Amino acid sequence: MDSPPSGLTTLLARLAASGTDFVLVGALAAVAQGAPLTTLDVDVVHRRGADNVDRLLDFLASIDARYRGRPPGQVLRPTREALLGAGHQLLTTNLGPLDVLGAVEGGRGYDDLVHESIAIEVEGERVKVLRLRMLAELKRGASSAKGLLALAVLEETLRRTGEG
Amino acid sequence: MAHPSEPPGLADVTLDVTLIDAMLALSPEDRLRQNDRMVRTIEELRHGFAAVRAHDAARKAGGERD
Repeated sequence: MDSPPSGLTTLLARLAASGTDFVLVGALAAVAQGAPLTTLDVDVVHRRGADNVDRLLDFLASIDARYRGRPPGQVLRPTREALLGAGHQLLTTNLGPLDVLGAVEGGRGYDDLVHESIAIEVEGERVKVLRLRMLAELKRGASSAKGLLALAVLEETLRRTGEG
Repeated sequence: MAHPSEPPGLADVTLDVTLIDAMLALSPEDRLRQNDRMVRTIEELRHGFAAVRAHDAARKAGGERD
């Protein structure tokens, strides 16, 4: 990871404060709902409307977002066109790593996921978080050891919360 | 049975709380901050291992022996 250590909580709150519409997904969404996992990045699915993409792009510029894994000295910034698409933008920022996803498993985008989200408060900002049940459903197609382990943790957390 | 060097009674303590129970007892924001603390620990370990590797490499390059 080439980002400096930083609080992912603050990155998430700052993104929410920017007025960008997004749903938190991935391991951090599971952590927010009680799953004992650890993750090094923030994964979000953003609404791909032009107005929202412009807000997101402004926010990304303000935190010096650039693609991860580039050779030293080769800085590549996310573009409007990329954010309008369904692809995954794996970024590093001065607040920590941020994965901006146009869509997740099954081609599900923001409009498909927002109705499966709950709202939590983070540093005074309202953040939409994909429900644990849906996070587990997305993980059910996982084949990697990491994915299967995360699925087991999600399912046990669902059982403990009475949602399983 | 407690080892003689252990503080008295410590070996008899059991915690009937799972990690999930501990996480569920926190607010969502506190759960996120717990993750931040884990990330910082991982970063510190990475930096520590990198420093040890650099030290070992420098020692080998200088012909030092263990």
